[in-house]
Amino acid sequence: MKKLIVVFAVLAGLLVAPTAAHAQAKVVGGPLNNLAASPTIHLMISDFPTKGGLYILQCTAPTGPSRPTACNDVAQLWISTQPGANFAPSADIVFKPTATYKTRAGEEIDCRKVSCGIYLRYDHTNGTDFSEDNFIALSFKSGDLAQVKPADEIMASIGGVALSQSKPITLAYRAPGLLIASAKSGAALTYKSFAPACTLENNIVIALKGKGACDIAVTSPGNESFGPITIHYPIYLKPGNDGILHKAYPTTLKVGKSASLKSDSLFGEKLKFKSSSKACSVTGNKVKALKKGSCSISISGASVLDLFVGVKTTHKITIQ
Amino acid sequence: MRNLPKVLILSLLFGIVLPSDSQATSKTITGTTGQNLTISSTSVTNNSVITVTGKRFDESVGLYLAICVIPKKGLAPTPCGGGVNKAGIGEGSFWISSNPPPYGVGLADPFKPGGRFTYKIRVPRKIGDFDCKKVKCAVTVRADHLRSTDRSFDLSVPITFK
Repeated sequence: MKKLIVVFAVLAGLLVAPTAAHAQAKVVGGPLNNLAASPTIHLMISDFPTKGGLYILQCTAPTGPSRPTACNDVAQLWISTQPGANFAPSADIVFKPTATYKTRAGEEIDCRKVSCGIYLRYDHTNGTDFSEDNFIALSFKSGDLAQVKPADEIMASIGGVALSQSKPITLAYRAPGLLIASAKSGAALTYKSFAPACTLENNIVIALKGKGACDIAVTSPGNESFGPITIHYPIYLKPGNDGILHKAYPTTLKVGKSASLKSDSLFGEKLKFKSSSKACSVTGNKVKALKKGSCSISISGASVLDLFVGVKTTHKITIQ
Repeated sequence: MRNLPKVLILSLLFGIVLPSDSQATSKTITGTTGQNLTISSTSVTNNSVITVTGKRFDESVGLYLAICVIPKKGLAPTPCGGGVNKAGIGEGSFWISSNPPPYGVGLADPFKPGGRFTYKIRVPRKIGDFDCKKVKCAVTVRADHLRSTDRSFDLSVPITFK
């Protein structure tokens, strides 16, 4: 009889979570009650919406029609078929809330004293659609506060622009960005690109596409004062700008002399040259100095949709 | 016409030989996303070296470049000649990836900006038991093993052996 009660008690902790009446996605999993300070919760989502991905957050219970804002950024998950998502919709989703956490605004939340739970909502692709908003209450054991270390805090930037989990920065195709990050703990950080559209080598991030998104993760192992943490920073991609290898072009030329101009752009496109001054003439990629003065050559190259904008520049040669 | 014997005589005297690849025909094909694959010659001899260039390929998708027997439509190109080898000129296959898994670092070559690559590739007449003089072979690119079942990245330029 005693065993039976234990089985029922365990099952009760794994019961199907109550879902909002209007939400399409159905969430099951657990445990949800009497949780330790840093539990691991397994979730499965059925009837996943086709319109877009979902965020799974740990937040204090919403007190009105607005979305909760006192959330735990560290525990946030992105569930989507898109590159960079933490889990695919059909995956065994591993969610790791904590009994205490600090909000983005710096507020300390203790879920043993206030009501907290799992908050689901549409991701950034449907940011204003509340139809999948859903709150599943969690309860934590009282006590063992001393065992809980606050998660480490990471500050990161690419190309001098601060990274944020909620406001992705934009990176242009093939424009290298230097990733600089530090942790409050002072621990050595590790870095990883989670999307094939970005490379990350020697702290340099390079976008390989001109549209879509990347996900750069920064991990701190923590130390005796701070717990480990991995922060995923989303990055949006945009087309880059093709260019020319300036040092390959002459800046001076003597009257009567000719020179060949490098005919490929930095991204490998064929360039077109046109003289707009009487000091020189251009045929194909050959420039000929006709008389003393300034030779102005307009250079253009093709654009590639969603990748880069073609060359459009002017090069000046002093004819001596 | 009167000069023809003179040209022949001069050629014989000075060993002037017309370039053997004077009949070489380069060929470029374009894929569905605008990527170009060019080979310097479609007519080859056993173990001759041709130049293969690619442009505007999706740099986020790793590729294998190799000489393969042309498969039936919709099937993966196989068998293919050569193997991953970093010796440089004249090898049979190459792995091109800007973002390989950790074990691929040093094995795969990154794309150049603009989704480009250029290789000199040696073309063997035989791929395993297959004789490319009897079966159709091609210079082929396909998605690497991370997307081995995805046929949308397959491109091939047929070659013929003299």
